[in-house]
Amino acid sequence: MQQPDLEALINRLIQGQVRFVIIGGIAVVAHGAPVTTFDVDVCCDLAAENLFRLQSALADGHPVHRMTPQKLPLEITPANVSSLRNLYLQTDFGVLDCLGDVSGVGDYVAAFEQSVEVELPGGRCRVLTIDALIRAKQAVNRLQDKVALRHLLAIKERQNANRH
Amino acid sequence: MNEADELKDAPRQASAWEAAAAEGIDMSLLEITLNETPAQRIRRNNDVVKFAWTLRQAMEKRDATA
Repeated sequence: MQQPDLEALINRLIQGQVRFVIIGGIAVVAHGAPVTTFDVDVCCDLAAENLFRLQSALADGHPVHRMTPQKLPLEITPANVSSLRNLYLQTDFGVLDCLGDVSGVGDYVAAFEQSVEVELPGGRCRVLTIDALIRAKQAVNRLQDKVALRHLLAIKERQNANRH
Repeated sequence: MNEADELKDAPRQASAWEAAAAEGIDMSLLEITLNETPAQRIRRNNDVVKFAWTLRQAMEKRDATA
């Protein structure tokens, strides 16, 4: 296993012109929470052409379905592309979860509408807004999300105070 | 008692910042990260992930030779 590089993973998606919105831990980090996350979660447009772009973008990272015991390689084909909803992948760059839907937010279109553009060294990408991220964290309400939620609510409060 | 008096006597709702601090979250770290750009924050996360991986490799190597 090689050293993970989550920035390289995101850059692959940007350069591959994959339509995605960053959600989850990286979005929490991007908004300013001093936490660390070891994977990249994105909400993806599940259109066939976009999933083929995703596959091409990740090809040199040897993506496999990490939830399968045999770690089956990612093989998106015209026959299976319309049945894909969520992809839980392990790549040479790190773990990537591609979701078709975000709890408390909705599908890719809804996530895109509730996202902001962020400039990264590898290019521009979309990140879920802090309000949508708060709703998503409140919707799932896992233990790890409670800490993230505390941070996000404090950040939101600070942002509101700075506006007035 | 009028409405203003009731509001004055009501227990003050803790702010989100105070609530986080009360639960043990180190708000000084949050002050630091809020001064960074999103790109800097993502880079820092990446650096931490890489360092954690390197450290784990070193620990596994040490355990294998112990």
